[in-house]
Amino acid sequence: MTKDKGQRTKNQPHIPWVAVGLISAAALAFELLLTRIFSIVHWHHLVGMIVSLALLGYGASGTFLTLLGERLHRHFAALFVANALVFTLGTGAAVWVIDLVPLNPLELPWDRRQPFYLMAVYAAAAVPFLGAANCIGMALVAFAGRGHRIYAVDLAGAGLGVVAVTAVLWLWHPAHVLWLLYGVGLAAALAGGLETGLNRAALTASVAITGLVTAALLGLVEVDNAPYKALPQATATLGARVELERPGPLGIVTVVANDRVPFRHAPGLSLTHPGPTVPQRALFVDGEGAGSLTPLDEGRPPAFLDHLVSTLPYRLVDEPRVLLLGPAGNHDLLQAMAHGAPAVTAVEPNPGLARLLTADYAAYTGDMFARPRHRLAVTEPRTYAQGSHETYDLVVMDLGNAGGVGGLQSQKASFRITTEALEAYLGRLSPRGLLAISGSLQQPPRESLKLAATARDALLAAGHPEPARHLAMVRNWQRFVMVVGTRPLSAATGDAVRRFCAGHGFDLVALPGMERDEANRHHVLDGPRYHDGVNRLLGPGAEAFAEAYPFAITPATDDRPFFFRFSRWDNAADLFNLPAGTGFAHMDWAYWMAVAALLQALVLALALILLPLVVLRRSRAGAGLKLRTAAYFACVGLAFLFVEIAFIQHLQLLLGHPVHATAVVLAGFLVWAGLGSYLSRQPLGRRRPPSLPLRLAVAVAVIALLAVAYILWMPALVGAVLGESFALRLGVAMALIAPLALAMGMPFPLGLALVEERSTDLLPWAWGINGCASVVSAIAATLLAMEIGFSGLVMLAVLLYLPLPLLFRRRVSATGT
Amino acid sequence: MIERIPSRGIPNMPSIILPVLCCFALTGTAAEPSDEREGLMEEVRRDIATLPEMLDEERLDPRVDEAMSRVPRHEFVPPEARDRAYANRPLPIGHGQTISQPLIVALMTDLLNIDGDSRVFELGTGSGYQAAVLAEIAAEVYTVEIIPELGQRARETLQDLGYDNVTVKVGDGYHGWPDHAPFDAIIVTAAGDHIPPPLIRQLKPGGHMVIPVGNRYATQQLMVVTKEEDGSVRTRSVLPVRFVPITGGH
Repeated sequence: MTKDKGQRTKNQPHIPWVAVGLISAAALAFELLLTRIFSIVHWHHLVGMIVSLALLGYGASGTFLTLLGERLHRHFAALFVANALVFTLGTGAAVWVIDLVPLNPLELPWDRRQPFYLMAVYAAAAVPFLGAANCIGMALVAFAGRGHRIYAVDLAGAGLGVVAVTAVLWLWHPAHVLWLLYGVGLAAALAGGLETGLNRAALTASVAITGLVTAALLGLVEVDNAPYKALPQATATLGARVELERPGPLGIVTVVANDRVPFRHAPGLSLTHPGPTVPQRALFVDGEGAGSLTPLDEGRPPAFLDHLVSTLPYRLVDEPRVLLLGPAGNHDLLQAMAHGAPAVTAVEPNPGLARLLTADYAAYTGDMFARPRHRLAVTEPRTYAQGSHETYDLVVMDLGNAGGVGGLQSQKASFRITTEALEAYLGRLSPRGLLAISGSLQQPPRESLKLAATARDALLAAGHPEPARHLAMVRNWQRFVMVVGTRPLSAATGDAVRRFCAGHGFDLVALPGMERDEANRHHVLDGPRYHDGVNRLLGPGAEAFAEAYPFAITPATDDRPFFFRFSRWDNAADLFNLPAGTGFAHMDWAYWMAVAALLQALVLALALILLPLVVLRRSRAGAGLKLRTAAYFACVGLAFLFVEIAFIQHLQLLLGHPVHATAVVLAGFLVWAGLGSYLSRQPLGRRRPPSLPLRLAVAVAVIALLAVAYILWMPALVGAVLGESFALRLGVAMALIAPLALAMGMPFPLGLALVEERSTDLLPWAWGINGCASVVSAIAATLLAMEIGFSGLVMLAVLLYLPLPLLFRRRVSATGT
Repeated sequence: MIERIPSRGIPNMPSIILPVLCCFALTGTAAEPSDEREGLMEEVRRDIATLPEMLDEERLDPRVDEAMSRVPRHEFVPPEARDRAYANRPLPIGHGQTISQPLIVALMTDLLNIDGDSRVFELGTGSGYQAAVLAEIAAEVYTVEIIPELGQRARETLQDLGYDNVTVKVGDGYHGWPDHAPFDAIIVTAAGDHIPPPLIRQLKPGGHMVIPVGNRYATQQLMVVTKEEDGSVRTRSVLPVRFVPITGGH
């Protein structure tokens, strides 16, 4: 089946450069858009799983192309255009199916139909990626000699797609961006047809029909929140009306008003508070509750703000200068105002929420930022705190705004709540200052204990050898607040904490000099669980306690920034076996769904990799060559994504914005890797160009050296430039990405060239293996990072890169011997 | 309380269809709702027996047991979910809301500690099932729903089933129901992020309020608020799960 290149090029169509670039851009843009659409319709813990598995379309493409065999070459032009149209039609169909299927992840443990709904969504979402991957894979196989250039165009197109879709999502609702992709998909098909010389009439007819059908599907699509999300429930309430809805890079911001059943947000309200709270506006981001907008009450902050658990720090520091980290609404701002704060700096990462306070609802919320010494910074709170040189009397944060609620966000890296982050916040405190962090209580205790452990490590790292003397914690039935100072808490502070608890019916959890019988008095549990847990974590034997605790409560660090991950393998069986499904409430769903996704991806990937071997039995390629090919492209696929994902996470901190980080790092990686691919087979101006194995060895050596250097020095470098301008930080990010990505772009095209030298039959298979490995890698990366950290992940990638030059070290025969 | 099941009364049934239906019935593929209900209650009793610390006693209050054995849960679920009406699980009822898991309904009702003279307030009518269980025990039940469609449907279902001691209102339950206060017990099935202060005021001294905490498909804990005779308020958290292995060695 192996063809001579001379034979194949005789009637060969032209390479569809423009079409490859367009389809690559559209496919990556669709991946990001699909992520946004899933975030709106469903919860984002489901998003990673579905989108990752949908990308198995890339893996399936290898199988499909292998099965096509010689027909790929004979009907290249028609197949290329057909697949571009499959992509276009598939995007419309995928979103239509997502909209149609009554998937409810909350029902997964209870309803046996839900897994089938999930599979229907996977399948629908995979089709467009299959179409796009077929286009690129066919071009790589049909024009194998110029694979490095085609791959370069593929990567550069994908990079541009990232930038374009990120920019458009600032302004447009994702449902409208779908129409843009629709246009690009059709343009890719047209360009592909024209470039490859396809019959014009057939091309026009097929593009027109696909265009009409897809337009009809897109016309049916409404990207709406699933009914189980908070926003549809709020709007179903008697008297509810949506006052504002605006798309933005971090989600669609919605404000809901209701005069008949007003929204009332008062987390941690004391049971002793006599009056009702004031009616508010409810805030939602992508249909999930995101705080509230509270009006002034006759020109003053409402009284209930003095009756919350989170009031504690204001009772301990008079007239504080306050830094609010991620306030999400104006609740925390009014609380600071209510307690006489003369200066407040709020750091809001979501520009959409910030705009509500400075423009749309400025008058409603008391026009806080028109006041002297009140400022609003729109950036990532950690980046601001670490880059700032100012000091504050109170640094205030709510865990609910730092990454969400436990169990739903365990997969999400959050640099806002790590040991290093708390150390940075402590560094912003004035001598009398306190860091105050509020959160929700769980039974058995989780977030409160992990926070105490994180504060302990931050205090120790900041040179305070007795953390227990610096920390107090108070709770009611539902919420807690922890306060930490850089100086030991005084006896007077202890008295104030006790008075606060007694006055509001709150419970002491931790306080220097506290007796055990002072805990668990008002909101009674079956024992002083919170007090005992925090005490153990602040005293000797903390590590042994954390190790024995059935939930993961060891502190999050910048290398493992997963504060909301509480799952442990050893308690999963206990929770599953609890009667009547009651253990489900205590499970860390995001984590277990990622594990399930990884298992599914592994099984499907294995099937997609093994299936083509049935056809490849007839190939002259021997078992040894097949094995080397499989190992090579599996390693490249796994390693590339491991490094890319580790970088995206780390540079979030440097760039101060998750959307900036993802767009810049992803686009940067793709474009530089594209250039690397292009350069991988250039003659380099020498009379006798270096051999492919030598080029590969150099590329791998550069990757290994740079990766190790970054692990060692990147945190210090990032820390050093955090206070600089965004332009400078962007420049640093690009300078870090460029050389590494350039080298990382080489192994794939060099591998294709090495395989091509031996057997062109294996090229589609190699493309599919790379696709499958990339999907497994994307899912496994986060799970691995939880266990071995991002630095461990990068080292693992290096270990996967290192053997590559050995696999095709010398010329082997086509039988693979 | 008269039980009504969906198959009763088929007027003007064509003679050819009736034998076919009878054949289906004789094959025994569909259990009677009352049998399914008894099976469900057996399951609930077994689960509760594993959690004696929850209720401070070995078994469910017989009044709660009897009430749940009488209420036809299938009448409170949408037609498409009726085949699962007697599974010990929460079920969707539309608008993102659920009918609670029977085990949780049993525990919450037991924790309210009500009797035949009690006046009960419920915030969050939902399907009306919880109100029906309360109505089987208490003298009067007042329930408020904020989603008009659900409130209307629950009102009709309760009326159809003859629960004339339940009053359903569609509106804002945050302020309780002052006209009928004080209440011997309050159940807050649609908990927000705090306990509305007016509800605490409308709870009688010695009365109990129960609030499930968690998402609609997974109750993490049940919060019991008790108003002492002197008017002071205490809360107690109880878990609908036994966490013996999860004490972390402390």
